[in-house]
Parts: sequence; C-alpha cells; structure tokens
Amino acid sequence: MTLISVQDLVVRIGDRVIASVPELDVAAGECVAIVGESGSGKTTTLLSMLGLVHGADVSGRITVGDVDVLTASPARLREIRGSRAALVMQSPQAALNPTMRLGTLMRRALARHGVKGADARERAEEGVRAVLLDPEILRRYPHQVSGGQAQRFAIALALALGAQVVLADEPTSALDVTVQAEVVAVLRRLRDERGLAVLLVSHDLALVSTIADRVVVMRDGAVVESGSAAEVFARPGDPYTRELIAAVPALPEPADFDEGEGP
Amino acid sequence: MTAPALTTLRRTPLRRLAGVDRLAVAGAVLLGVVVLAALLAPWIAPYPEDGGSATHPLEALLPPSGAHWFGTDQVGRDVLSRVLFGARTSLLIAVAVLAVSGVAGVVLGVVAGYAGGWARDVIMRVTDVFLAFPALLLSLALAVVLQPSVTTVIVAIAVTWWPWYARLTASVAASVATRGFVDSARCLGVPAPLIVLRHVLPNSLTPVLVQLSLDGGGVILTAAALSYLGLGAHEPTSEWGLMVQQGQSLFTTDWWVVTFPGLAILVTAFSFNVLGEGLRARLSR
Amino acid sequence: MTLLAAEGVTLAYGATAVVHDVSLAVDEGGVGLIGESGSGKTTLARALLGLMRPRSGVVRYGTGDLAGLGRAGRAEFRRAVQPVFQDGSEALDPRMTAGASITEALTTHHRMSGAERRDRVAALLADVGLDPALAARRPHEMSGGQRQRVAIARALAVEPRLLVLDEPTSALDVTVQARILDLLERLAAEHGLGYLLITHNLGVVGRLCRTSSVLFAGRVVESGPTGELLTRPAHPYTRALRDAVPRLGGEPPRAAGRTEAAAAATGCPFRLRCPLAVDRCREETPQAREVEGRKVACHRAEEVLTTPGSPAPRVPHGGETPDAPRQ
Repeated sequence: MTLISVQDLVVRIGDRVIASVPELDVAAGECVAIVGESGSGKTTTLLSMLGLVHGADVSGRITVGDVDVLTASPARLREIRGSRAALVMQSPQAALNPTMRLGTLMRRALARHGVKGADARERAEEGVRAVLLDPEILRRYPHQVSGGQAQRFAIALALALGAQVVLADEPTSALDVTVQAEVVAVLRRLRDERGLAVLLVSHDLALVSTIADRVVVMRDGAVVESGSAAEVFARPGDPYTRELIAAVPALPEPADFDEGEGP
Repeated sequence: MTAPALTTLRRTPLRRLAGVDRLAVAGAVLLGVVVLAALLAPWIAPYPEDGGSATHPLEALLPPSGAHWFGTDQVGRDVLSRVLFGARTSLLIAVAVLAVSGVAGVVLGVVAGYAGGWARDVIMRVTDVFLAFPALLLSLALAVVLQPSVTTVIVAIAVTWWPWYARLTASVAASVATRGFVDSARCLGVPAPLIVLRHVLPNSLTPVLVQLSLDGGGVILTAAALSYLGLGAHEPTSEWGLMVQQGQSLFTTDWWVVTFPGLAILVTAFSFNVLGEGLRARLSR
Repeated sequence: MTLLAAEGVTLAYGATAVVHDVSLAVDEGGVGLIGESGSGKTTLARALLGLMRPRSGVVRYGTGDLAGLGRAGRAEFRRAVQPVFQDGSEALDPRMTAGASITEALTTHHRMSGAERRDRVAALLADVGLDPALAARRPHEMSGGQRQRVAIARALAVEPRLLVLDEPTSALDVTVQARILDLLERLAAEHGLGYLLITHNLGVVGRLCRTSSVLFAGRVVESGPTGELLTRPAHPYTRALRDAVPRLGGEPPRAAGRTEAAAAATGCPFRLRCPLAVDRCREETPQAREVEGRKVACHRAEEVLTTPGSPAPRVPHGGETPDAPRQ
C-alpha cells in the first residue's frame, strides 16, 4: 500500500527551482531516504509532504494516505500533521512545551483527537513502549530527558495518534553515535513490525545504507539518482553519488594500519 | 563547496524586509525633517528674534493666521518660530544625553562583560544602585540640587540613563566574549585591550545602537518633563516642555500656545521610536 | 618529542568537575581524542589552549608548566599552538573580511609592510586551496568549507608547530568534510605540524591519527594505537562506540543501550551502561593499566578483548525494553 506518493513536485522561489522531484512513492513497511548535502532541496521536499513550505510556489501532486496535500483545506492538513504523519526533526526538544510533563503533552494531543481517560493512558504507554522507552518517562519534563529520548518520544507521540507515516529530517545528526544507533533501531523496528512508512532525510550515507530500502540522491534541487539502496550503494551511477560515497570516512579495518597512518 | 548563492535564499521573506526598511526609512525621514528644522531655524523661522528674548506685548495671544501660522504666545512671540528654535534645544539635549550616557555605558559595559570577575561585579553593583531609583525621581532630585538650565537637564538625565546601556552592553559583550573568534584571538596572543576594541566592542554595538535610537524619544520626553516642572531650560530659551508648561493654563482659551509645542514633542519622540523599531527589526534578521 | 601535554589535569566549572585526572601527550604527528557530547573533550581542548586553568594537574608546553610561563614564554606558546574550531562562521569575526582575519594573525607577533601582508595573505589562502580574491569576503559571503579553510589559513599564519582541531569538520557537508580532512593531512605533512584531533567521529580519527585516547565522562578510559583501539577495543565503551557507527552497506549499527544512564559517581563511571559490569566495578574504580599495547581503565579488559564480537545488543528487535526501571 502506497502511503506517500509524489508526482512532478516542483518547489520554486521566484524563478529559482529549489526542489524538483518527478516521482517518489513510499509504501507501508518501507523506508525511503532522500540523501543530499545542504541546499540540495531534500528538506524542502520533506516539508512539502505536510504542506509546510511557506513563501514558495509548490506545484505537482502530493498524496499522503488519501489526502491530496496541495489542495487540502487547512483543517485537513492539520489532521494529517497531527495524526497521519509524524514529523521528526533534528532537535525535538525545541518542539516540546517545556512547562508540561511528557505525559500531559501526550494526553492533550490525544484529547484533541477524541481519545480520553484510560484509553488515552493505554495508547500513550503503548506508544512509548513501541519506541523502547520506559513509560516512567511520561512523568518527566522535556528538560529531564536526553536528546535521544526526546527524539523517540516525538515518534511515540505520533504512534499514539495513529500515524502510519514517519517523516524524519536528519533525526540523528544532533545525537551521539551511541544514541543515534538507538533511534535507528527504533525506526527499523517500527518499519518491520508495524509496517510504518518512513521517509528519511539525511546527509549521512553510512547511516542511510543501514536502514533505507530505497534511496533518492538530490543535488541543487534536482534528483540525480534513485533506486534500491543496495543497488545505489553497490553501483552508484552518478558521479555525485560516487563522490558522496567516497566521502564517508570509513572505520579502520586491521589492514589499514599495517603501514602506518591512513588508508 | 556549495554555491554561495544559496545563502541569499535564506533571506527569503523579501516583502517583510522591504516593509521593515520602510519603517526605518519613515522614522529616519521624519527625524531628518526635525533635524533640518533645528539646523535651519535661524533662516526658516519667520521671526528669528522671537526664538530668544524679544517680546511684542501688543501682539500677545493672536490666534493662528497668515502672519503667525501657529499664533503667538502671552508676550506676543511667534509660536512657530519658537517651536523651530525649540527643536534645537530638544535635539541638543537628546544628542548630548545619548552621547554621554551611551559612551559611558558602553565603555563600562564592555569592560564588565569581557573581563568578568570582580570588574564585572563592581560595575554591575554600581549600575544596580543607580537603577534602584526611579529614573525620573533621580533626575528630579539632581535637577533640584543643580541650577535649572539645559546643562542641568543633560547631566540629570545622563546620570540616570547610562546604567541601562552599561547593563545591556555587559550582557551582550559577555556573550560575544564566549564566541569562537574571541577565543581564536586569545589563542593568537592578541592583547586583551585590542581584543575588546577589535572584536568585542564592534560585535556588541548593534543592540546598543538600536536602544539608543529607541531612547531618543524618551530623553526628549524626560527633558520636556523637567523643563515643564521648572527644573530645566528657563526663559527666554525656546524649549518645548517649558512652552507647554507656560501655555497649559491657556489651553481652553488660547489652545495654540500649548498644542504646537506639544505636537512637536510627540512627533519627535515618535520618529525616534519608529527609527529604533525599524533598525531593531532590520538588524535582528 | 612531546610538545604539549596534560598531566593529571582536572578541570571544573564552579563546583562541577568535567574532566578528571586526564593525562594526554601530543607529539609531532597526529593524536586523536575521541569523545561524545558531555565527555569533556572541548573543555580539555580549552585547557590545552591555555584558555582555562586546570583545577589541579599541569598543562605542559615543552618542558614548562603553562601556568608558570613568563611573558616571552607565553608569546612563544601562542605562536606555537593554534586552534581550529568546529565552525568557521563562529571562529571568524563576522565583521572582518577573510583578509583582515588572516592579517590580524600575521601582525600580532610581527611588524609587516602592507605589500608584505598582502603577499602573505594571498600565499596562505592559496596554501589552503582558496582563490586569493576571497580575501575581500566576509564570513557570511562564504560557504562553510571556505570559512573553515580561512580559519585554517589564519591558524597557519603564525607558523605554529601544533594545531588543536576541535571537531574541525562536523559542521560541514560530507563531501566538504572529506576535502578539509585531505587539506589538514597535506598541511600537517608539508609544514611538519603536530595535531590533536578532537572528534566523535571514529572514521576521521582512524584516518588521521596514529594514537588516540577515548574520553568517557571526563576520564580517559582507553588510549593507544588508533588501529588497535578501533579494531580490537579493550574497553566496553570503546567497543560500544565502534559498534554504533553505521557502516556503508554494513550491518545496522548496534545500539549499546542505556545511553541515558548517567556516569556512575563511584566505582567505574561506565558501569551503569556496561553489559559486562560485575560487583567489582561498583566497588573499585578501575585504574589505567597496560593491556596488549594500550592503556585501559577496565577491570575486565582481557574479557572484552577475547569476547568475539560484541555482547548481545541491548536494543533487541522485539519484546523487551532496554529502559526497564533501573534497580
């Protein structure tokens, strides 16, 4: 089942095309990664899925679930943002109201969608467990949790609201590697076990190669290459993709150190 | 390397930017008119001698007319001429107060912010003492002790005004002092006074300049208040606050004597504020 | 020869110590300092740069204590040791052109004529692979990579013997990162520079540093030849770090679990996160000891070395949660 579908997406500011994506589908249980460097248009593409690109002309066709994003009413868009698709950003702590316990935050969000009382508590705890957090965390305030926990809580919140799609914009680039591994493990698990569709935006090719099923490589607003992750990483067709792959600093293997420094 | 052209994209809200600039420009233009009026007062005032001690008792309290656009006051002086000359007094006070308190505040603030430690403690405690008194009250007390004059007004206001700039500058300078380029200069072995002059001061000035332009209106209002209370400029100096005070009892019968200097205060204070807000919005981008 | 060294350095902000009794030597050639956020690596860098005084212990430059250097000695230290920070936009004064920033470095210790300055600025910019015309640009008119190159040119302007590189590439795009690393590698070789490279990126250290130290919660938990550390870690934290790094086309990174657990105040600081922790780790703080060519502060280093692969990952693909309430 296709949960995100993009056709002929073009985002312009004035005469300048800042993102152009001819075609992009994300099915349930699939992770698609948009890879690129700053200014490649990858974040713009992701934000356009939620109708969050402001001050630019967006044309084409974007469907999230059964909602046509570009023609949807503001109320309908809010509904997608709230409960269909979860947006996970680089620093989730900034998006959490600092004066509220995480549990209160979760309860209010659920109440807005008509889920209350014991039902809400159950949904909240279930969502938190699904991202491998202890429900005890619901009693804490945002400043009492780490970056990785906040990131996972943001996903839990979306899950509790019934999201089928996770849109993640550099979800781990502000995190330590050990914490990053946890967030990636959670995303993989949700994809595999709950059939979530994950659209991941990242500049970290190594990371992407460990989770993405398909990859879209963007540069200067345009798609330069796309295909299955295994294919793209094993046999990159575009020179830019090759450059990106070559730029990933490899972890040393024993052989690298036989003759001193460097590979 | 990514194209430098991309950076221009980050400044996208072009319309907002233009709007902001319009505000700053409007303030600057309005203030420019006041400044021009002040500078050219001796030439454009219809009765230049009325800006001083001339009196024409026979022409007292004439309503606005072709000969006296703003009418005349109790001793027959042309109100328009006195409003124009009054601009000189008000702007002189504003510029002097802002210069004195701005320089004192910025110098002390930058030292406190960069040096930290006991220097900061001492300077900040002194500002606390000044800030503990309501500004107008302190100005009043000072003005009472000193002889009423324009200089008194300047001193009285500047004394209450500088701690604000010291405090603002200190907090900005303290954060600038933690930035990488300051560490980098320290690692090069650049002497501390040079680091302050070259890096900390220029990078701390923007918010202070905005605050100075916002405060111009406040200084003019305070100066007018002091003169109104008889503690500042005195006859025959043209000063708006003084003119308002002298004309207020006549408001019901001879409204023009008090209204035009009052409007002049309003317009000038307003133009400072608009300019300051415009600058703030522009520089905080 | 050791140029710069920390000897038993403890660093604190107010009452909070963030670096505990760390010893580290930087000689000619590259030394890596690996740590995650909050490990105290940047604080240690500040102390080595003379920007912060140790609470106890000594930062040694050449043969003298940095804190005891006279005026001349301090000036010499300032010329010899230069930093390159994470972000060129932070390290360069936003109001100064690239040329002015480099000129400031050139003229701090030497008088120079205008023509001489211009020539040196152009030569330095060329040396870091930039068009000398960039001298007229301000930081916001340059890309991230260009800014970092200018920052490097500024550091080189005083002809230092040693660079302290604090996450020099982590704010940059990957392809730019690779080019900056190439540049640093070339410059270090050409100018005979020693450097301390501080980073969380194991790949970067693996490429540029012959020896490395791993910092956890302000303590060096393992140090030795970089290759040994990364291919056969002897400390469970080094291993957790290595296993968490995603590899191109490799296995998914292994989550080491319990990353939220704080550093323990008593015993081994890593024990609350350690899959191998035993009672002894709670009772006795492990001291650094020599194990197979490296120094490691772990009671069970031998077992870490001999256990094939990692212990079972703490985040499984189903069922149990790793965040079960701590006892």
